[in-house]
Amino acid sequence: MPSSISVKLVAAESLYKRDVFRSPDPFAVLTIDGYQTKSTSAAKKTLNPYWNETFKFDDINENSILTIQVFDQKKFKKKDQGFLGVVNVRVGDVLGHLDEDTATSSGRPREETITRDLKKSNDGMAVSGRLIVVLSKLPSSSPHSQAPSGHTASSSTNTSSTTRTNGHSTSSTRNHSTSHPSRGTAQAVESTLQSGTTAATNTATTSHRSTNSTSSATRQYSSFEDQYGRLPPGWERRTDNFGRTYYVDHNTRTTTWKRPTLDQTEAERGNQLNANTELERRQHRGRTLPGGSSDNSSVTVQVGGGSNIPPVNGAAAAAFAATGGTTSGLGELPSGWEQRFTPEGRAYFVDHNTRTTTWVDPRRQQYIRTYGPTNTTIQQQPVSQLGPLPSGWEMRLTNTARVYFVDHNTKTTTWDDPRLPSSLDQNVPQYKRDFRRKVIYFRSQPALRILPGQCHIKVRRKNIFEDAYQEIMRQTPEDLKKRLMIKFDGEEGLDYGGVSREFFFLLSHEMFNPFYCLFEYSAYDNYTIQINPNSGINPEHLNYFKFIGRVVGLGVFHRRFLDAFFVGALYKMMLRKKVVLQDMEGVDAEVYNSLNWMLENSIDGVLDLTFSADDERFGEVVTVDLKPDGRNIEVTDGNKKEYVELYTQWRIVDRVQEQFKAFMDGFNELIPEDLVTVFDERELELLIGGIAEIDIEDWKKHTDYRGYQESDEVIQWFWKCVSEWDNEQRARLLQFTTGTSRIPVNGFKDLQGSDGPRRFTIEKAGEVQQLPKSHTCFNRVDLPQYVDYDSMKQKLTLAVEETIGFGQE
Amino acid sequence: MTFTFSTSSRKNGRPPLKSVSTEDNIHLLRKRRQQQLSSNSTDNSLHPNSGQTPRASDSQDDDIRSASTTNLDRLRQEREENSLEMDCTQSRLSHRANMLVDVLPSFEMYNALHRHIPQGNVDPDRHDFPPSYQEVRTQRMTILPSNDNSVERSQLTAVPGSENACNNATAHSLTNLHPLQTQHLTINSTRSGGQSLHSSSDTNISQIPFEDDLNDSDNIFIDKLYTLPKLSTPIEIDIRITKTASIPHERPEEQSILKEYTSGDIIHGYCLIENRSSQPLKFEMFYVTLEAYISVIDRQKGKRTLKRFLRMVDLSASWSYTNITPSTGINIVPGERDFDDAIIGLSNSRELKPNTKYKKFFMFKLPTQLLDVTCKQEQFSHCLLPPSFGIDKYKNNCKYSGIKVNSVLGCGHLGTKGSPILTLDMADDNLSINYTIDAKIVGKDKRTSKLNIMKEKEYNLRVMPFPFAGVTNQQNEKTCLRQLKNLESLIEDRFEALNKIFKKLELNEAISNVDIHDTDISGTLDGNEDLDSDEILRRKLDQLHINNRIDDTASQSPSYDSKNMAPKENLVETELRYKFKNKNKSNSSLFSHFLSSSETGSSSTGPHVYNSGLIVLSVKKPQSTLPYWSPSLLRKTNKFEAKSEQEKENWQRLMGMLPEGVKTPLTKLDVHLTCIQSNNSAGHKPPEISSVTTEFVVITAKSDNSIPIKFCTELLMNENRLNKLKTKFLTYQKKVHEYRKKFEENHAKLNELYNRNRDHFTPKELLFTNFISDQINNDIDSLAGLKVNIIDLHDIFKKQIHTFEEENEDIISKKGSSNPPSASSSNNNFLQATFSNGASTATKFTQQIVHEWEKVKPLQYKRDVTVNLKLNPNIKETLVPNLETCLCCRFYCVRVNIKFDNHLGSMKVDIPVDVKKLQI
Repeated sequence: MPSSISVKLVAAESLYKRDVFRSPDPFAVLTIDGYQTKSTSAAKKTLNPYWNETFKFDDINENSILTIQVFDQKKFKKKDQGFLGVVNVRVGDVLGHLDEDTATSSGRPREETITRDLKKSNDGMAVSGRLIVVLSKLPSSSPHSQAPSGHTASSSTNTSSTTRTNGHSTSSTRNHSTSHPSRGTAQAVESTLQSGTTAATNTATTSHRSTNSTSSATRQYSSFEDQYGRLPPGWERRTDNFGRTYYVDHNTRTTTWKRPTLDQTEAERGNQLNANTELERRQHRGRTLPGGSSDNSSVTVQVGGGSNIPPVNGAAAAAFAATGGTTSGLGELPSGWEQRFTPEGRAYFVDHNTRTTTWVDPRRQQYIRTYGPTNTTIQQQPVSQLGPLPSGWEMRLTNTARVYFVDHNTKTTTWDDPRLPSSLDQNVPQYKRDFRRKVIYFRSQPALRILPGQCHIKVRRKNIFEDAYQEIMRQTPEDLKKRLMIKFDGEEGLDYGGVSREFFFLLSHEMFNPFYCLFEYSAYDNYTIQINPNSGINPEHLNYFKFIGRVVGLGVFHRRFLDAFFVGALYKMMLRKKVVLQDMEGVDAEVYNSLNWMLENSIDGVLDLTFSADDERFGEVVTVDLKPDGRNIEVTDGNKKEYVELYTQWRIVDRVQEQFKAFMDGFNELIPEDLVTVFDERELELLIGGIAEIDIEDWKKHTDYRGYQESDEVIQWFWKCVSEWDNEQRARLLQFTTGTSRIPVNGFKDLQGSDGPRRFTIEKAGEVQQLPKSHTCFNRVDLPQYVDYDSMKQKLTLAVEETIGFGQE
Repeated sequence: MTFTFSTSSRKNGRPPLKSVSTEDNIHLLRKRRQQQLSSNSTDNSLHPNSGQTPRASDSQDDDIRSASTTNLDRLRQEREENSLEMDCTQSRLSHRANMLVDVLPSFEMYNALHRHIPQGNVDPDRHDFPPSYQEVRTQRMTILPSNDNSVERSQLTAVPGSENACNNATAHSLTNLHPLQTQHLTINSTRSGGQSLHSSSDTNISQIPFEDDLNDSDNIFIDKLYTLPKLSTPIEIDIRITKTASIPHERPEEQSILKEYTSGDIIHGYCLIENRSSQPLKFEMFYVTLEAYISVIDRQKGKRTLKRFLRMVDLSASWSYTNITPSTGINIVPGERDFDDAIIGLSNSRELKPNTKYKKFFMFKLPTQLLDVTCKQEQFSHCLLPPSFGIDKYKNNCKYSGIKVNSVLGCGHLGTKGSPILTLDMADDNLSINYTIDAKIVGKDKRTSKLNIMKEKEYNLRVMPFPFAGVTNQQNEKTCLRQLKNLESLIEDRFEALNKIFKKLELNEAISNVDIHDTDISGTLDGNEDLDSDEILRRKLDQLHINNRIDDTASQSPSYDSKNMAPKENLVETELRYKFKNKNKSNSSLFSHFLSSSETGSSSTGPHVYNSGLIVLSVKKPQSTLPYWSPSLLRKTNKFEAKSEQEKENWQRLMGMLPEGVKTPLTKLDVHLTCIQSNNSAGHKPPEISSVTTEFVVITAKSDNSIPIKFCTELLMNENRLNKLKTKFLTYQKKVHEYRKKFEENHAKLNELYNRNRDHFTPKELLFTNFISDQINNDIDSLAGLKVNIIDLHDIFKKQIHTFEEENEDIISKKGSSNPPSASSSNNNFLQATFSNGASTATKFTQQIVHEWEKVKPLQYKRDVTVNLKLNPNIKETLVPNLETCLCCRFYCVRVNIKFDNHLGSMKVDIPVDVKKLQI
């Protein structure tokens, strides 16, 4: 029986002194089982911070783990976020059995004070010191408190709390079935197809609700209360198109899956919200793109400099050098360096590693070395005339007669000829789908050249969506192509790129927030988003979609990343590609299963479907013809394949046709359509959202195996291969297995499947000569028992690299 | 490479910076990284800085400040320990002899050192250090000094205090960069010491230099390097070329003076720099480059045109902020003394100590083709490597003008290494293509802080490139005429547009976009018309006036692959009408021709009985080529066996690329004669051939502006076609001049008319260049100023009678006899000239050369004549391979003269032939 505890973080002692002259501003972040994150305020300049702040955690059982991490606020934005130590406490060890109500002698609830030594994290940075925590069990008060305590919507984790399950997931058997659900009878299939995703009440009656279906269906509640009583002021209960209930907080204009509890003060909730956005901001900041032209690309191969400029990691540098990849000579100073200006405006460079200053730019020492044979093979056909270089590019010969290119737009040098799509350039070893080269090619096109002049956008941080809407919609596309100068009202700070990054981060959260009913979460997890078919309730919705299209275009144009990930189908639509049944899984897993079932079983005499579909628009059900006069055409085994295609087309594309068209109009004002088709849909996601810094250790730690042990050879090979890959290929593996490259904020342990939390799983399935297959709704990859490393690597690369769909079974 | 002195001198030189991280040294880096962390973090006294008097404010803080040098330094003992480590890797690296290190500079390195001439060598004595770290920390930092303070340089606008930042950013328009333009320099008549070649008219688009640092607003663009004033300073530079890569402490073997390189060969060597004065001398930059340029001098106009078509910089040999691995991969430890007591590497502080020698190793690999942006008119054949041609008799105040060709050896040079080699390649004195290894030290005048060249040294190379595709002159003629027609029609239509606006000027009508570009397309695209891709391509090429890009020769027979090897028959043809009295009729009396009108057998029309007919001569343009021919001494020094390992492998690779058909040299021409007898003459035996002679025609064309079209021998050899062309373009030139004058006079009025109906657009200025762009202007000047020089050489090929294959080797080769013996069966003096033993020459002449007439059809005879082309081994001339460049080109033809008996006439045909370097 879950109960709640209160944790008082008293103080920490003798933290590790990382910097010689400066002591940290330590603050602590507390989480239980990875969610309910809470953080203390930051103590200023001390190694022995005294916080004395109490936090209440609900829904705790003995083996919940309380993790307390201490960071240095000053260095929170750095790569290692100023990490100062972590403590993991198993609640059961401290408070014993929570359920028996053994009040202590003095009648007060049991209270334990513990001190734990701070431990290192996996990146091995030295830490020291102790943490003093007071844990106490709260007396189990009225059942009311049992209701799940509110937590922020955008945090991805949502436990399989009761309210959620009744909305969506069907019977438990579904989770374990592999290919097609054995659950529904044909009749259920028909009802889902015919009635589309009608309101929850409808599905509740027909499908077998899981046992703990609550009695909500019996009594109608207003949207400000539910069976647990009234919602806190300013909160409202809503159900989305999949019948899932979610809660909207009008105070902060945010949405959450968890029902807000009364006794959680606004301050606490706000505080939690900030801690979570801070984590998300950190992840968003770490996202990069290959192609060297993005200004925050982390891999700067800094060769030739003194050794105390730590090159990033050897493997990346080697990989970079081997492919003769682009050196990002751009703005990114080596880590620990900073550029400043003397009063007269002369630039000088500060090296925080050695605490020295100099006039000379350290990047003037960077160069890339690649080894080649003295007598290179002379290609038969001298590349005659490729026409002029894109503007802003120069072409030079090295003393070893190798051609290199200098791009003054992005201040980078590269071996790759920008005029050549990747395949032809004989200069660089090739691999089939070269995303990096596509980015370079894409960005070197004249249409994507930043126009001279500036585009000023002034927004208020609190009201960013409305302000941005006014500012961006009043400018012409040409203005938007000038250099972005973003200004947060009331915040002084010149836009050196950091401010515009923050702008896109916050704006992407607001734009796709279901609060505005423009977008909704996809069926099988709650962070990839899709266009809300019922966005029509917002009369201005088409203009907003055009605005959102412009912002996405703006992000791509100015090389900024949006913290937003669409369902796979939407990227396909952006590339004018035809959607297939497979894409339905991301949009509505239930309909996907029904259509699958139809294809696999004979339906003559079993289903009487016609070439029409019912669409529920604002309450009244409309039948839509999939084909001219479709409603009189029977669906038979013969033409069921066509029916599936038409239904998928209608279900995914046609229902959101105008919204999508408005979105694309806005997008194409910035990014010409014929240019973006260079990418496939997965690469488009990376182009818009950037590639996250994927932590292999964390991934490995939270992986389940079926039919394999971690020690098996194939698994060792699998992780060896993944670690050899660069970030982009790892992101693509994630897309292949989970449908999106987005990693939850708290890491892989929060990975969501279509039926609630579902860790990354590797299952032994499939023959040796087959390619690995994946089930995106279960985050599972079927890895055959390959015989040797090379064939495994080749097969895995082929499966991940291939560009058609997700290669399901 | 940078290095420091062992003694801690006043000047704070820096311990050398070890650059280590190649993919196989990554572990090294990681190991050092741990060392770094483990060593006590407080010990950061990096470099004893006795020279500095620490400012009061940071006395307790021992951080180091240095003005000009970056202080990525490390402790000196760490450097020794490094060099130990280096030894273990050095041995591993050096053994991979056939490895090459390609160095890709970062943007900052390229922009600071090689796109602009650096001048940041701040004198450490002038203590203007940047603010100390202490001050930095105390300053209120608005933004957290996190690593994302990436300053996008182009974004820096509102930086306090530097007002020029704003206009720099806007002036920062990214025009397309033309890497190496043609420089037009005037030769001032007086031979003053450092004659200043100032560029008379930089007609090309003015170069908007790229803004580098905020404060180096006075950046000097690299092209200015060639126009800097040259000082005479007591610095000696010596360039030595070695046979193999020079490994430190071993004396390398020097290269021969007659060395000839080809595409893909690697040139190793080193520079010795010595400051002969007693004072240390400071310099700004030291460049080691391989450069190549065409020089065309026009004595009358006193104008010298220079096109630099190749510039390769050896980053590791030139000065740089850090130690860059030499391209040979051999790791050198800077600061060491080599076998000749020279210090390896140059100092960080860019200063030359008195009487000390410094040494810099360099390496260059000749490219297979030039950068394809070299030719603005995008003629692909202009982007192939041209051979060395003539010598530059003008440079360094005519230092090389004294070189004469030694008649015995066939070539001449100054006798010292690095001198250019003059051969009889029939290049006139005012035309040359030169390849040099160049070492320049750039200094800065203290007072005027102007840059100058302190010392410059060059080592001339002789380069004979491997013939890559695209130079065959098979379909030249068609392309040449097409491009000429296109150019003329373009110029005509521009004149048309000008006439139109002048007419509108008189009628005071508004001028619209259509008038300028005669189609509205270039202005606004009226959307409804959907253009297919070819149409768009055609319009685009028209608009860019460069439709040479679809270059038939390049596209059609770019490679030697066999499938398009058999180009459509392109023949060279000529014909001869002959007419002779029908002497051998039986009653050849005076009256016979009156009576014979009714004779049967031949319907004679004319009153006399003549035999007449037409002989057509046709020759197929040969596919194989004549070999490049050089003086015997040059051939001997550069034969295959004498080449280095790398050069041998390179040559085999190059030859491996060619299909068999091309490799066999051209030895004979198959001439087909067809004799068609006119109907009114009696069946008669076609006239006999009396002699077959050959000549070798050398055609050289040059112009002082880049040649816009592809040339062909047919055009250049044809006197009147050439004159017609030149007169036409001279008239164009005059017309342009007139129009320009007229345009300037009415400039204001025209602009007013132009902007009258352009209400919704911002007012746009109407320029003359909208009509006649600079490019077109140059093209007109180039063809108007075209100079063609044709030389006939008679004794290049052996006489035909000397070219008989002998069944029995008893032929006595005759010294070139004076008059070509005419061989005809009936000519008896020929018989005396031959020797009686063996089959007589006449019969061999007929068997092997002229064969017999064969009757093919009534009144039609066919005869094959094989003309042997055997090079006369003791010719003095050098036959340089064909070349086509922006300023000059060289073509060859074989002229075959066939003379017929009893003065019926002779036929002359010029067959274009290629000369290529296919044998060594």
